[in-house]
Amino acid sequence: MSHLIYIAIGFPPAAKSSAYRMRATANLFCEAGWDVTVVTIHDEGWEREFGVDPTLSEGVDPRISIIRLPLSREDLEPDIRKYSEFRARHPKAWLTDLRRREMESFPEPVFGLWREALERSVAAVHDERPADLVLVSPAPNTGMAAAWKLWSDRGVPYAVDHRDAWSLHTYQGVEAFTRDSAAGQWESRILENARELWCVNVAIADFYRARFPATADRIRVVENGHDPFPQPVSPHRPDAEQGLTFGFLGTSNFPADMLNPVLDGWCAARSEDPVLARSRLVFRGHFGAGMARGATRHVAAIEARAQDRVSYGGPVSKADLGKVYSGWDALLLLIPGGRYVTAGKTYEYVATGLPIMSAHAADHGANCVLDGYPLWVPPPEELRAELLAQSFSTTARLALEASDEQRSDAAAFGRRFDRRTLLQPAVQALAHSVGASDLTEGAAR
Amino acid sequence: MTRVLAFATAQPRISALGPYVTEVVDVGGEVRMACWFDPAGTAVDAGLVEARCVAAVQQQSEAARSVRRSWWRRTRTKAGSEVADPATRRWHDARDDPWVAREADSADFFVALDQDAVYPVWELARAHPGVRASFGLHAVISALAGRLTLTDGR
Repeated sequence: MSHLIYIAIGFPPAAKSSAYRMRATANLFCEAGWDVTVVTIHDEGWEREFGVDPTLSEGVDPRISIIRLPLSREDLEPDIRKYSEFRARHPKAWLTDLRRREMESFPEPVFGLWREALERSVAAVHDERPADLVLVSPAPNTGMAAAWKLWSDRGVPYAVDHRDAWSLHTYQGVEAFTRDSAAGQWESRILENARELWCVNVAIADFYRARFPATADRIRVVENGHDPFPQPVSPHRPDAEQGLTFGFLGTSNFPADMLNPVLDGWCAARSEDPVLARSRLVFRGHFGAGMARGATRHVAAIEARAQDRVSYGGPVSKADLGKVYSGWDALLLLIPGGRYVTAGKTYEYVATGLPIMSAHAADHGANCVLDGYPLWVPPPEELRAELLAQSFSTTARLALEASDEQRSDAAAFGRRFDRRTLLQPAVQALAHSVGASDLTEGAAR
Repeated sequence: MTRVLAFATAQPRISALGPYVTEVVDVGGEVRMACWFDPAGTAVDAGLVEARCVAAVQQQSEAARSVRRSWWRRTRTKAGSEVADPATRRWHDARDDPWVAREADSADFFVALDQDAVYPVWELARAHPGVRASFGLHAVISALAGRLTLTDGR
């Protein structure tokens, strides 16, 4: 049986969006007859950040071995007894020093100091049960150093599932670092020797093909897709007299400045549209990590509009997704970035079959997913309150007037993006590409 | 009964604090807060048992002595003494407050609710072995649920 070491920091039960893709990938390799060992961090590490969602682990194939390394973000250490006096007295200076030390180990802030532990543990797994392939799913990008080292020392081929990108700021659409920087040299070294590089959308894949032309034929687009809801979404016909419920479910990874025109647009629409005046706008999801959970500027801005029936209701566990979506009449897709960003949330939204109002850049990667969705209100040319007010009104009309056929078409459209269906060809191709001759590939270089 | 003594140098948002206080109360605990601002309203709205402005005590006593001691404080400040350092000043505020001293003796957790409250909590933890100290109330909830380990200094 072939053995996969899967460096997947963010694997369930981490309450992170990456957990779904990682779980599906590991399960598919397992179902393809591979012995899978996942390398991730311990649950306490996630407790410091966005927390854990034990329901995410329920769908993990029990045949998969999971190594949970005792690694945590030092900057989010909650135990004050573990602080040095310097850290307690001068938190900013301490943080500056930490970032410097992280960058010395590997050119990635926050995670650089994990490099040694990751390299050591991946080598130990290989020593115990030789691996035929390493798949690494950054971020953190530091995980790629461990995959590269095992290839360099022992010749085990590796592939990279870049859920995002490293040398590209996907939100801003600009290069994050040059090729001759420390990070650039690491990225070249890693990607030029990778068996495959997976990207979540065409725009990011094109960026990497242009940056690494010699690697272009090994770059594959593997879209995110969505998982079936534990409880199905049961759309109901909205009642104009009672008003509608618009919902946002996601993380607050958009700038607070992006939220204000949306809220202004909501308030403006309510003053013009009697149905919206009776309606609610509900935000759910993880807003802020660690100490800042639920205490972000976003929550403050939302609460300031409480009189306009805007509220924040906290995170939602995966098990409750279907129930939450079933209670909403339309969805607000508020995501940052532009053409390089698709957002896993977009796929989940189309899976609901509910009307979707886009509130993001006009030229956004999400458009590629939503194009053709029967109940979509595309983004306005600019995120200005008056244009967003129109979007709210248009979405409300769509929610009230959509025919059963349109709703059925929307649900069918969403089924195209089943995560396993999208991942399976990539997993199969990668698994088949690895043969016994690969085992000496790296060592011979 | 789990007794939590929290410290805040800036007014926490009720929506951020309240749910965590509720969670502590739900498992049979109670939360008190020492702060450096007027806590009026915060205690009731967030579900705290009691909130106390430690700076007020310090300011009152300082005011009473200010005329006599102004020359002395000026001299100390000019010399760049530790008292001029905000972190130390906050620690001294907490240390010299009889209410904090009383509550600290019976606390199970010290909690800093913001970054500038970390140093007084760090010093208090050193003076009170056996009391766990965390940055944020969420860590207390995780520790009580057994999902997170907070050391107690013993």
